[in-house]
Amino acid sequence: MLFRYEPGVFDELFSRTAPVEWAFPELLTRFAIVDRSNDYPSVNIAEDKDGVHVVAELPGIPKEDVKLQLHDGTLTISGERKSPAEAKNSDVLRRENRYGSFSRTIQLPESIDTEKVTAEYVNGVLRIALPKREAAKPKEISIR
Amino acid sequence: MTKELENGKINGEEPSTTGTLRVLRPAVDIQELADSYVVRLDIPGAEKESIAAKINESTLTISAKVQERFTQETAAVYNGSLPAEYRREFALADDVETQTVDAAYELGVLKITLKKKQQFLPKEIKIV
Repeated sequence: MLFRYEPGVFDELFSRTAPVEWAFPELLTRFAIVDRSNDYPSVNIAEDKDGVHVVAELPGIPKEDVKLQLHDGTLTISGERKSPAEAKNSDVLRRENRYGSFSRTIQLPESIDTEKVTAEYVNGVLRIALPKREAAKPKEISIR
Repeated sequence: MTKELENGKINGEEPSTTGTLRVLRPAVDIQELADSYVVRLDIPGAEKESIAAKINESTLTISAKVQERFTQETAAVYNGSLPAEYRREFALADDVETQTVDAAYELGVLKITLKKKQQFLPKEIKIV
């Protein structure tokens, strides 16, 4: 079922900029990026029979400065990228990287077992493994 | 140092295809200090052994291969970015010492330090 998006109606009820997806979760594609305020960090998402794999690119950010939160069926990656140490006594000739705080939220499918989520950070890449609940995994039934 | 080569088909916004590899131009920060330049490139997930920083005449070329983000059985349902190779070239200014390149890879960032030539360093003259 599809609803026509009418900004006037929803903006009064929800203060967020993209409220229609919150109000009607069925409108979401399964792994919709909920927070569209920016596209940083870059995120890749894949699914196999065991679960969902989220790979985020966070170069230059120690893992202590990254926060991962599961809440209400969403996964939020947030943190802060600090400017490099010698930035103060030097002339910046070019700056393409962005520094400062960031946040990105991803809608997760219901089949995820939130108790078993693990994450590791190697070489600027954060890998988050979100296994599916046993009941949600495909099962083969033998025919007698 | 500030001038960058725009030759080739590498473009920052849209990764081009070289054979089967997707080439991505990494974002860069360049800072000038009194006696050196510090170049930082974001190359998350690069294989350390594959990282190369070479100076040929007055061109600095940086390249690195990227580790696979997912196993082959795992179907990607959403791709924000999946580069296979990082590559970027810089034309160096006259004051850069081209004999030595110091490169360090940490947290997915490649930090390259280029020393300035002796004759370009600020000099203090003692008054007698």
